[in-house]
Amino acid sequence: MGLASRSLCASGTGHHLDAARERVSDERALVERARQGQCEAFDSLVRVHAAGVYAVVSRLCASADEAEEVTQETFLRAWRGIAQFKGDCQLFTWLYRIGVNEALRRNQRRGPEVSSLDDHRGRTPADSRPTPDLDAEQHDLRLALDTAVRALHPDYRAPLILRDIEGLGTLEAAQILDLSEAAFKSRLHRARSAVRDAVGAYLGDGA
Amino acid sequence: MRLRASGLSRRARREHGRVQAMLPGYLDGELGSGERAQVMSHARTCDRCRGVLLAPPSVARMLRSVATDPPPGLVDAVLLRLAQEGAMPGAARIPSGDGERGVQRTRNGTGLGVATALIACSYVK
Repeated sequence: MGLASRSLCASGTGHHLDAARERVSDERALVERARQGQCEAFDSLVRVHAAGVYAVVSRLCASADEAEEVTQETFLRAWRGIAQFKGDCQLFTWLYRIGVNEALRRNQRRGPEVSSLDDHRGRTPADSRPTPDLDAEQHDLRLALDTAVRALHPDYRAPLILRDIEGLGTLEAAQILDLSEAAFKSRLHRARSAVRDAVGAYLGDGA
Repeated sequence: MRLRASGLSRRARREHGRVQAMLPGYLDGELGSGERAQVMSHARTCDRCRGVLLAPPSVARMLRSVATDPPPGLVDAVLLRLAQEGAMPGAARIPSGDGERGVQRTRNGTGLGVATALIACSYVK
């Protein structure tokens, strides 16, 4: 999904389309209106950001259903806390932070996950929705990669998701996780190494 | 046995070239199962192609290609949840239709569009 998911979508024709575009083009104005309690402004923000939030949390959640719940919870909390959003970061940064925290909280509550790559092989990723073709090819490298990511502890998985998959900048991603840049880079490095090693092992080079 | 591109037979070079041309499609998840199998089989014995697949940008590209499309009706489900939990007058009258999982029905999508149309912009803090 990534950055593209944060593009605005509008439907309609003629002046309705123009009006819709105008309405959603200035996110700050929408946020301000939402802060004043205008739920139609918040609706627009949901439409813009729901897919992006889902894309991030789905890789942190145990199932597609849980990812959907976390997405709903994210926007519920955002609506209730929109007055506290000061605009000192982008809205999606704030939303991602809520979503990631909620996903990590659920992970914590669930207890430690199995961390062995072998134990995750063959497990269908929460939201990969594989085609029947892919289903029959559980050993495809791309699925092995996804499995390797899921085998990471969430503390290491989250930096990889935000930086390498969602394409956020280091500072932005570190802010979302409430980490210093140095700590973020350290976790990212470890996550990348673990994934690379897992894939190398999968390809049989003994890495 | 590992192969290095420079020391390949003509046939192996042809295969290497064919697989190299397929790598971008592989990274983006655009190949069919037969072509993917060819790439995988070749990468296990070719240092150069394995190096391409294991490079950080390739790894990220492959991860991005594992789809995380949102379920149909995700936005509707979020708006419905907001309405149901928003304690607005009238929101409680909207039947979820399936008990506790009322706002998780987006995969089936039954009635969600209608329900959302009814409750859009109806939640309050």
